[in-house]
Amino acid sequence: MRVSRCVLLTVCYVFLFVSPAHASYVMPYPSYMPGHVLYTPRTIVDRIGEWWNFGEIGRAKYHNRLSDRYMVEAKTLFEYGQYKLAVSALKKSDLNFAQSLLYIREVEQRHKDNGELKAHLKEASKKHDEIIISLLSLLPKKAIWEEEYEEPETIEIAFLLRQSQIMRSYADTQ
Amino acid sequence: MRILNSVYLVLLLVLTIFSYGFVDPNFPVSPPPFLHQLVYTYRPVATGIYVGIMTALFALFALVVKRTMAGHIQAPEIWRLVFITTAFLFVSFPAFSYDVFNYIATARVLFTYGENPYVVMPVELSHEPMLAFMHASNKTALYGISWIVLSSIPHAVSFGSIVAAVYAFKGFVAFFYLGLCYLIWLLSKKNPVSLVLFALHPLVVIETLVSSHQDVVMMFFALLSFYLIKKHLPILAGFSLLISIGIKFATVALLPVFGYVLYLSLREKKIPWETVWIGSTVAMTLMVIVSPLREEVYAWYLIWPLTFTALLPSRTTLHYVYAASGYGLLLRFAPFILTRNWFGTTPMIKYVVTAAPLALVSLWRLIYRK
Repeated sequence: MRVSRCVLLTVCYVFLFVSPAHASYVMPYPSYMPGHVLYTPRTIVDRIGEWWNFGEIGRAKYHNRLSDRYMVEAKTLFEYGQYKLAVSALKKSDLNFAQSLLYIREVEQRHKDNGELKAHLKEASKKHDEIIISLLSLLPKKAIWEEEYEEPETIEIAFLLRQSQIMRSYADTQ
Repeated sequence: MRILNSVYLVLLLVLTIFSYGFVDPNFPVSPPPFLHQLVYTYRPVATGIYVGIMTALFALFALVVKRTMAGHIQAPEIWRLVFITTAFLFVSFPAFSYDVFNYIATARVLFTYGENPYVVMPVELSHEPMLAFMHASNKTALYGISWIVLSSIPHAVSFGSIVAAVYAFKGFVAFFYLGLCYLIWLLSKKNPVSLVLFALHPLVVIETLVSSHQDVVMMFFALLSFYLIKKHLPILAGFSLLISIGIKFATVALLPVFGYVLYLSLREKKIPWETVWIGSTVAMTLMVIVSPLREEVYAWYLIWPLTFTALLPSRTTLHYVYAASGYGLLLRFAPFILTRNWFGTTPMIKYVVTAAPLALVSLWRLIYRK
C-alpha cells in the first residue's frame, strides 16, 4: 500500500512539476540548403544584415544567430551524407561563433551589459556541443569525397567536429 | 481679457506644478514630497485636480475661440498666449506619458552606445541608468528613421545628462510646435481663428508641451509639404512629406491628397485648398480610427487631424466634435491616476469617458441645429 502510494506521488510529481518539454536553448529550424534557389539571396541578405546589426551587442547577437543557423545546416547536411557542403557550413558556424565571442568580449570591456550575452552564448555552446557529440557518434571518422572531374579528397570529419567542439568549450572558459 | 489671461496663467502654473507629482521615484531628480504624496497617495484628489485642469482648459479654450471668432481677440494677443503657454509648459514634467523617455533611450542606444536601436533594446544595456524608471525598455525603436536622425539634435544638446535630455527634447518638440503654428497661420492666410483652434487646443497643448509627443514634428513636415507645393517647390515638398512619413508613418495616409495637389500644381491648375484640408482631415481621422488595430487610440493621435481642422475655421460643428473628442481622449488618463492601474475597471472607464463627451456634444448639436 505504502509502495503504491509512493509510486503514485512520484508519478504526480513528475507530471505536475517536471516539464516534459524543457528547452533552455532552442536552435532554429533548418533554412534553405545549398543548391536551393533562395540560398544565395539569403546569403546576400545575411551580408546586409551584418551592416544593419552594427554595434558590439548587435554584432554579437547577429553572429550567434548565424552560428546557430550554420550549425543546423551542417547537421542536416551531415545526416544526408553531403559531407563537403556540411563541412563548409560547419566552418561558417565556427567562424561566426568565434566572431560572436570576440564581440561579447568587447561588450564586456565597454560594460554594456551584466554578462547576459555571455551566458546566452554559453547556452548556445552547450547546445552546439550536444549536436557535435551526436554527430560524432553517427558519422565516420573520415570520408573520401569525390567530385566530378576532381581529385578525390579526404574529409577528416571527426577532426573537424572535435575542432568545433574545442572552440565551443572556449566560451565556457571565458 | 485681463481676467481671462490671469485665469489661464494660474491654470498653466497649477498644471506645471502638478506635473512634478508624477515624477518616477527612481528619476534622478525628486520633486517636493507633498507633490509625490498627492499623486501617489491622495489619488482621488489628484484625479479631481487633473479633471479640473482639463475642464477649465477646455472652457477657457471655448471662450477664447468664441471671442476670436467675434473679433474681440486679435492675432498678436493669440501669439502672445502661444509663447506664454510654450514658456510655462516647457518647464513642466512629462507627466501623462513616458514616451519622451523612449525617445531619449532610443537616441542613447544609437548615439551613446553605438548600437542599432531597431536591433538592440534599452533593457539589453544593463548599465543604462534610464532602466530604473523608463516603462518600455523591452522594445526596440518604434519610430521611423527620420525621427531617429532628428533626435540627434536634442541628444547632442543634452551632453549625456538624462535630466538635460528631458528638457532638450521638450524644447525640440516645442520648437516644432511653434513652427507648426506658424505654418497654420500662413496657410490660413493669417486667420487668428485657425491659429487659436490649433495652438491653444488643450489636447495639443498638453500632449505637445507637457508630454512632448513628436506628433507635431511629423505634422510640421506634412504641412510644410503642402506649403512648399503652394510655393511651387514640388521636389522639396515631396522630400518634406517623406521626412514626415519617416517620423511616425501615419502621414502615409496623406499620399493620395498630396498626389492630387501635386498633380494640380504641376498642371498649373487652381488648387481647391478647402477640399484639400477636408481630404487631409478625413485621411488623418481614418488613421486615428484604425489605430486601435495596432494598440489603442492615444490622445496625442488627435493632433494629426487637428492640424487640418484648424484650417477649416468656418466648420463650427467639426470643431465642436474635435474639441469633445479631445476632451474625452484626455480624460482617458484620469482612471489611471485614480487606480494607478491600466487593468481592472480602467479600460471600461476609459471607453466611457472617451465616448461620453463626443456623444453629448453630438446630441447637443443635433438638438441645437433643429
